[in-house]
Amino acid sequence: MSVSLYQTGVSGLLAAQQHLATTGHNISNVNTDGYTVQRGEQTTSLGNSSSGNYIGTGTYISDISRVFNSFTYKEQVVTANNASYSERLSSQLNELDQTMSTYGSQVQSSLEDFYRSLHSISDKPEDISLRKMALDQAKTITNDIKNLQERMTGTQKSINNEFVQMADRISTLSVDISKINSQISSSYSANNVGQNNDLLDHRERLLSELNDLVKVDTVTDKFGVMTVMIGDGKTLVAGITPLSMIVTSGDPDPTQNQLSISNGKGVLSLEGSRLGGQLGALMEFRDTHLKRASSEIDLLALGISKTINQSQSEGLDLNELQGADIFSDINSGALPVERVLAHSANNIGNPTPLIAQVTITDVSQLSTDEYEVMFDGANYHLNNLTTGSSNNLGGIGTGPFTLPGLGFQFEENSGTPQADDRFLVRPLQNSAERMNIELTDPQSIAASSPVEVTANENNVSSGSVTISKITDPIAARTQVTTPFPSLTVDVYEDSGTPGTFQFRVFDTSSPPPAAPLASGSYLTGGTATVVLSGFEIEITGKLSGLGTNAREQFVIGDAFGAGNGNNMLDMAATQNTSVLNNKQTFSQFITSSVSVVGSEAASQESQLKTDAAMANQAISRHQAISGVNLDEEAANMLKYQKAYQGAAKVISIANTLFDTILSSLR
Amino acid sequence: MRISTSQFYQVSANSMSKMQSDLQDQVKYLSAGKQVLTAKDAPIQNASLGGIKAELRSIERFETNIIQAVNHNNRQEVSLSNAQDILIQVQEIFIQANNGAYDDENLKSLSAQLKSNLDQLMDIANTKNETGEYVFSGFQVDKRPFSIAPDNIVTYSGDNREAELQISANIRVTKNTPGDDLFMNIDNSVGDFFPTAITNLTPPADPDPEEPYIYVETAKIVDRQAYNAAAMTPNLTFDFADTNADGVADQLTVTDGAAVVSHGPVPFTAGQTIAFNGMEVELDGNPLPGDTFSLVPQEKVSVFDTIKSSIDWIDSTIKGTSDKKQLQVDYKHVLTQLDGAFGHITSKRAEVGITLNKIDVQRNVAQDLDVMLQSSRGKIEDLDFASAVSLFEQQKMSLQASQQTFTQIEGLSLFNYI
Repeated sequence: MSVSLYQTGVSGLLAAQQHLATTGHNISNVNTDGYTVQRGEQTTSLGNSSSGNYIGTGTYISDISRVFNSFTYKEQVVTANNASYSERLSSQLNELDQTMSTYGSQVQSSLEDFYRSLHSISDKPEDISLRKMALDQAKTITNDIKNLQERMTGTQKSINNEFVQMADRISTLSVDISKINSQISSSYSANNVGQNNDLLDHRERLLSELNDLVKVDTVTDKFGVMTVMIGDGKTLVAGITPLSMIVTSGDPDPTQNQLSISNGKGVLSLEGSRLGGQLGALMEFRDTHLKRASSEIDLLALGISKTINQSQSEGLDLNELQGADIFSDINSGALPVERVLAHSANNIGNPTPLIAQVTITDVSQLSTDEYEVMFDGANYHLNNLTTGSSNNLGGIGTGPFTLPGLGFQFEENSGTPQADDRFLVRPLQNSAERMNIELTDPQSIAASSPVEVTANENNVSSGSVTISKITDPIAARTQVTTPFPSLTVDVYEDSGTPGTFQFRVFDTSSPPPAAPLASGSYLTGGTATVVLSGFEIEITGKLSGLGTNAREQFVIGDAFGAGNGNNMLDMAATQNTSVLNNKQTFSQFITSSVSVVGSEAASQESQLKTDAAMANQAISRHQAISGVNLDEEAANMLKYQKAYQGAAKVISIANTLFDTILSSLR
Repeated sequence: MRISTSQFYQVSANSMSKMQSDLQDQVKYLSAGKQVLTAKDAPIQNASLGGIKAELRSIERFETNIIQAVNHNNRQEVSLSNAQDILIQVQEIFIQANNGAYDDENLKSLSAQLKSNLDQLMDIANTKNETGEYVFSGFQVDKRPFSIAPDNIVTYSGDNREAELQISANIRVTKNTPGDDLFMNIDNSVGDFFPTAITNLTPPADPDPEEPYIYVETAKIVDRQAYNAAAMTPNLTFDFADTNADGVADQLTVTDGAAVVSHGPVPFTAGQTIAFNGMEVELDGNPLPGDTFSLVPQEKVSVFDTIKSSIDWIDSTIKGTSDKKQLQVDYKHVLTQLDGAFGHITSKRAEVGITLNKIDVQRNVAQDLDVMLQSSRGKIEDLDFASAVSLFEQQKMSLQASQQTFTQIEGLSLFNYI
């Protein structure tokens, strides 16, 4: 019937119009981020029965929906989060690699210059200008190390700032998503089949921005309301209720900011290692890589200060005084107390909480490990946070506490602890920041050794008496010259018991039978150590002598002189001794520090390539289904245009038919 | 697979930007000439590279020390050579002085020449280096080591230490010889003792005028154990007696400083070695009965004392107060000692030569090592320009190709045709 034909035509027209509108919408949104292509679903209208036949009544658009595959979308989300994590971590590591390589070689070269100046002092010990140069070089080393450490702390500060900005952004996104949720839920009606596609796209765009920052998981209920969980599964958007992310100061280290979700009444902290995305990358970078690099710089500062100061203390300066510290002492000032960070919970219910400190006893045994001291009510326990080992230190008040191989001791300063009190112990804390040059007078560089050993030229066998340790050069000098002129050490092999060497140490001016200062014996292949005032000597070798009356003799005398550069030679030799980590010289330590960062950066870069490739593939797959292809839309446009024209023609024919009927009735 | 339009642009843009950044990196390497700019570029080899660079730095550092060590030792060598020349002159003059034909005027001028030689030697011993340090003062480089009194006695106020320089990680060489080792502690040519003048309280009736006094050739300790065990008090006095009144001394008694008889009385024949209590004494000539002399312990003699002795000897000859026979004995001692001094300086000079040689060897070793290390470093760090430039060209071409294909494909759109 023409009336039905009319309707059929109109329905076709309307359908074509909707298609064209959708196609137009797709074309306009070709560059919209996150836009999913929409397609109308055309369904045929049911036919009406007419004289035993069903005649169709046209068509209608049953649904305009997004062409969306939730599996490819999920894959895209997960790979995008990994890629964003990898990329951020890689870019931070690259920057760290640049910094370490550049500044690392700077420190190497200023260390080298310093040691060269020590050699030149050993050649001309009374030259003031050479000494001044050495002090200048020492200052340069200090500056270089401090600059490097400042870069590290600067990076840490800017990461902490970025946390604040990202937390703000995440909180804003949370609010936006919850608004969309409420819009979606209020527009939901049991009768509406269609979905608000553009709202959904908008929500997904917000989610993908959130996903770039942190790992995202979603659950959508049947009303279309989406609950968003981030990181280790904590809820950020509970349907239409947004929660916010805040940054809290770290405890006990306030510079280690943490992230938490706040719901207005309480705070839930987020586990840093499961954050994912850029936040996760920054957290991992700050707490693992940056912290380690920064600790190593602190250890270097400690090593240099202690080694040079120790060497300095073993010699005499131009004024015949014991060499004073060139670098600030590693256990001076605020450093010992700053190495212990108390948890804030320790202060609860305790008016006089324990204040403790850490003194370093042996730099070569130190590592970059972090420790925790826990008080269980009776004893202190030391837990190594890096290796996980735990030891009982001892009861309250029985300090200072230490363990073999530790390199430092834990001391109670004041106050008393409560049960479950915890203290973070970082033996290296702030060492680079507090490194300073204390010595300003070039005359005070201790170039001269205080005493030396001379073998008598009548000695016949091979063996030696050497000075193995100097604890107080002035006392050493006094010991050998009081009474004047020197000390004598004589050794001979006991003919009665071959293989046993008897030695005596006495004042040269009052030889035996006057009582010697020290005497004893040692066996073949062994050594004897004699502790004297201010120094120690070692006697070793087959010093057999010719008999009880013709012993091997060694004279220990005052060696101070303006031309004595032996202590400088010894200090310069520390460049080649293994002072750090029990097996590395300064140069090796810096090289290995730099190399570790370099290799991490390189491996993260190749990881990034993989992650980026996977993310791109996921995007391609998703876009293959959901992306707008202009050519396709252009073809569709022609298609629907033709359909429109056809439907219009149908209407026109229906009109003509109606006119025909009308005119036939006239 | 269907490609969305935005995906197409995104992929093209990404790939072009990646190629550009790779190209940029390559430019960085090319302009630096190195393929390792940061540790990331060579993660596995960075540790070796660091070690190689550390070694190269150390070679450079020690080269400076080597130059200094060579300078110091050369300076010593020159001084010692000059000292040798002076000693030769002294010997020649002293030999001339024993010429009986010289009269007092000649002898006075010879004595004056010896005095000026002594002063010259003092000058050499007090020499300073280019920074004003005394070379032969041991560690006391700011104190003048040798000073001379009006009676020509020279005292040493430096010390006995040798300063060292580090010329490699494990090798130190000396840069000086202390003045006392050089000039003050010359071995006594007699041995461990020096004889006093021969005296005789009971000279025989007609002594033979041609017969010289006995001359102590050597007096040394051969067995320290026995000598120390005997614990004799210095000085040891030797007395010769004639037991059978034949005018020839045939008995010897040695008494020590505490009047304890250490040896003898024992029969004595001329030419025999006197050995007792770990000592050996050899005499030249026939002792007369009643001859006495003492042995004073002296292991070392200073060269200045020897020259002073030569000057004193000439002065005594001029005055004519001393016993001529004793003068002859003294003459022999001084001449032998001058010889010994010359030999001592020569051997010290040889030691300096050995040190210089040691430094030279080390320098050659270091230079060889340097060449090898530079080549190892280059293998890791230096850019292979041929392959780097060709990679650069390749990357440039890839970028151009991707840019051109993008433009071409980008122009293809159905909208151009409707």
